[in-house]
Amino acid sequence: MPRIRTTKILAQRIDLSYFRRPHPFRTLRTVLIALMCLAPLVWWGAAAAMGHRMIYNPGPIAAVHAMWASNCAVCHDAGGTGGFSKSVSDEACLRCHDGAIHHSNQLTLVALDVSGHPLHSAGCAACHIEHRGRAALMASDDATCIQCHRDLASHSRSHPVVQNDVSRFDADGGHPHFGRSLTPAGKSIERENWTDPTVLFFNHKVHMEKVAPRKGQSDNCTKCHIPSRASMASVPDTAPGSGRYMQPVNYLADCSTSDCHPIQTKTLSGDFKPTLADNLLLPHANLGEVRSAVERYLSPALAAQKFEGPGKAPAAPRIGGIRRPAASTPVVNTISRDEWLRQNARFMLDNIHKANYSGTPPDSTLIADSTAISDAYFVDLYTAFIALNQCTKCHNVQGDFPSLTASSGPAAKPLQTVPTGITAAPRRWFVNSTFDHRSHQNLRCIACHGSAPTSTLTSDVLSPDIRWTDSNKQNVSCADCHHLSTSSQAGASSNCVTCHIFHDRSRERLPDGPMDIKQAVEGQLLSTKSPTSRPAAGQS
Amino acid sequence: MLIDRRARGWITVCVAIFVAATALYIPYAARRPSGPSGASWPGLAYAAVGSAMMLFAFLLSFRKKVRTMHLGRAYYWMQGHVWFGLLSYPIILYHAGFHFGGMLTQIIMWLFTAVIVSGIVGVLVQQWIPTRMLRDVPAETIYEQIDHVLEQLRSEAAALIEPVTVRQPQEAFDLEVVPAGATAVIAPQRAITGAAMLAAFYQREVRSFLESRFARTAALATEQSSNATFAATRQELPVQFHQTLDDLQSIVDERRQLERQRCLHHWLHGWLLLHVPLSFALMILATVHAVMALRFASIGH
Repeated sequence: MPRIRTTKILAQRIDLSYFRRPHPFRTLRTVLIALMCLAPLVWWGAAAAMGHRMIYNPGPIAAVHAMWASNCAVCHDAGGTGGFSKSVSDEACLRCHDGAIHHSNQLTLVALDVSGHPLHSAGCAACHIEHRGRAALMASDDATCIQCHRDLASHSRSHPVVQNDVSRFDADGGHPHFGRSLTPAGKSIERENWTDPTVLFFNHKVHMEKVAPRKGQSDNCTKCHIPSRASMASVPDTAPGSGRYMQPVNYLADCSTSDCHPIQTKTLSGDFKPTLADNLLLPHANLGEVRSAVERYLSPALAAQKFEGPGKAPAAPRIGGIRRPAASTPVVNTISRDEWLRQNARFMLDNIHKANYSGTPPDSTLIADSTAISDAYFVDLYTAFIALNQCTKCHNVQGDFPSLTASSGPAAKPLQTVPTGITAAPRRWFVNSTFDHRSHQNLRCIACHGSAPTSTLTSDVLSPDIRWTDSNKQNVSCADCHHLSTSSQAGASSNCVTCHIFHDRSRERLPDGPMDIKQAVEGQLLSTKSPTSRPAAGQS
Repeated sequence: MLIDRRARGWITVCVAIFVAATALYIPYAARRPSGPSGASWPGLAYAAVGSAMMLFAFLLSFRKKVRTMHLGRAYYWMQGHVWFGLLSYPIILYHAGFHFGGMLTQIIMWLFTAVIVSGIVGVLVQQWIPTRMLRDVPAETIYEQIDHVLEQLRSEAAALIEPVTVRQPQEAFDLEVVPAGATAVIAPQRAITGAAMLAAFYQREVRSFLESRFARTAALATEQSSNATFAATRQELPVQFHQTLDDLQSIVDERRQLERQRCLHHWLHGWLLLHVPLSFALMILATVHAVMALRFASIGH
C-alpha cells in the first residue's frame, strides 16, 4: 500500500496548541524587541541622569560658542518666559553680541523702539543657524540677503536709494553699480558721473610715464601705492598693517623721496641774492609752521643793514661806433636793507599772479621807494610767495593775502592750503563693501585701474565699476572671476558676504559688556544691561 | 505576494504624495536662507506627515496582536505598512533637509535607514520566496511544527522497517522445511538478504537523515544523490521490498522538503528579527527627538 499524503493527512499531523508553547524564533524576536525598547530608554535615562544633554545636540556647536556647548540654557532660555519651550531668544544672543542694525531704513529683522527708531537687529535665528557649521552660523548664504534685497522696497521704511532688486552678483543688472560715495548728489550712479573729491593736483599720466618702476615690476604703481604688510592675520580691515587696502599716498614717503618733489627755495628773488646761509628746506606742514621756518631762515638777513647783490652792468663803451662787449667782471651793487625789502616785495607781488590763487594780492606799484616794509610783513609776504609758488603745485590755497600796511592788521582769513581730504588711514571709496588688494595681488594694477595711464586729473576716478575697460581696451568685469561655478568653469566666491557685511559695525556699542570673566565662562547672565534699554541705533 | 495588481492604487497614491512633497521641497530648500531646517514650518509639516506614516506602519505590529477586532482588512494594513513606511523615509529626509544632525538624530536616521532597508529586503523576499516554497515544498507545514512533524516521520519510518526486521527469522525457518528445488531455494535466500540490506540501509542512511539535523554531505541530502542512492538500493532489493523502499524515499523526500522549508523560512522571516526590534527602538527615539526638538528648537526658523 503506497504512502498517501493528502492535505488532510498533512494537516492532521499538526499540533494545534503549538502557539502556546515557546519557540526559539518567537522567543528570540520577543527578546530582541525588549532589548531594543530597553536600550534607548536606558541610554536616554542615563544621559538624563548624568545631565548629558549633548545627545540632543543636532550638530556641532561652532567654535566661537564651543565653551557653552554643554550648557544649553545659556542660549536656550526662551527669553526667560519659562514653560515647556526652551528656544533661543534674541535676548540670549544680544547679551554677548551687539546685533547692530543693517540700515536705518530697514523694516525687516529689526527691533524698533516706541518712537519707531531701529534699536537692534531682531530674529537672529532667522539668519544665524547654530549647530549647522560655521557657514550657517555666519549666514553666508545669499538667500539670507536676497530675502529682503529681492524686493527692497517692501522691507524699507522709505523707497530705497539703491537698486530695488538685487538677486545675484553679475554685471548684467543683477548687482548695482559700485561707487555711490563717488557720485555727486543728484547724479545717477553710473561710472561717468563718478568724481574723486580729493582736493589736490595730481597727474597720473605724467607720473606713470616718468617714474621708473620698482625692480622686477612692469608698472610703477607700487612706487607710491603700497599696501601695508601685515604682521598678524587678525589686523583689522582698515588698519595700516592689514594689507587689504592701499595706504594713503604720503608726501614725505612717496613724493619728496629721490629728490622728486622736495620743497625748497633756492633764491629769494631773481635779481638780488641776500647773504643767506643755505637753501630754504620747508616743512610739509600748515602755513603757520612754514612761516616759522621762513622767519628763522630770514632772520640773519633781516638783521643785516646792507646787501650786496648783482647790479646793472654799465653800458659797454662804443669804439669806432661799435658797442663792445661788457667786461666779464660781475658788477656788485650795495643796497640798503629797506631797498632790498621793497625790491623783493615787488618781485614777489609781481610773480604770485601765476600761482593758483583766486584772491587779489596788493598791487606791487603801491610799494613806493618811501614805503617801509616791516620784517613781519616781509615774512608774511615771503610765506605767501612760497605758498603760492610751491604749495600750489599740488594744493589749492585759499585765504587773504597779507595786507600791505601794518595798520591794516593781520589778514582775516590767513592763507592756507585747502585740506585734501586724504586721511591717515586707508580711504574707502566703496564704503558698503570690503575689498582685499592682497587677495588680488596676482593681477597687474592696471588690469583693474585701467584708466590710470591716461588720467590727467585728480578728479578722474580710477577705481573700477562692476564692469570696466582695462588697459587693453577689453571689457572686463569682477564677475569674470567671481561667479557661480559651472560645469565648465569654477568661479571665485561670489557670495554677498564675500564683499558685504550685514551688521553695521559703525553702529555697534562701545566694548563695555555686562559680564566679568567668571560669568562669561560659566554662562551666568546679567539682566542689568537689557539690550532693549540701549539707545536707538545711530544715537550716542 | 505583497505586490500585485491590487497594489496599483497604493503605489499611485504614494507616488502622487512623493511628487507633491518633492515639488514643494525644491523651492522651499532653494529659497530658504541657510537651507531647509526641521524647525521651519515646512520642515515641521514634513515631520508631521512623515511621523504619521511611520506611526501607521508601526501600528501593524499591534494590529496583528488584535486580529479579531474589526480594524480593517489585514491586507490594507499590510499595504499601508509597506507603502506609507517606504514613503515616510523621503518625507523625513525632507524634514531633516538631508542632514542627519547630531548624535540622537543620527542614531534615529541610521535606525530608520536600517528599518527601511530591512523592510525592502523583506518585501522582496516575501515577493519571491512564497512562490518558491509553494513549488519546492508541497509538504509544507507550520515552521514551528517542523520538529514535531519530523518526529512523526521518524516514527512512520520505524514502523515501516519494523515488520521487515521482525519477519527475517520466520522466513529462515520456512526455508528449511521447503522441499529442495533450485528456484524455491534461491527466492527465500534473496528475501533474507534483501531484508537485511533494507534494514541496514535504513540504519545507515535513512534514520540519521530523519534526525533534526543531518550532515550536508549525507547521501540523501540532495534530491539528485537521494534518487541515485534509492535507485541503487532498489536494484539490489527483491521486489517485495520495493514498496517499503518507495515509502522510505517518500519520507526522506518529505524530510528534505521540511529542511528546505526551514531554510526558506529563515530567509522569509529572518529579516523581521532586525526590522521589528529596530522599529521599536526607532519609534521610541523618534518620540524623544520630537519632544526635545519642539522644546529646544526655534519653531519657524
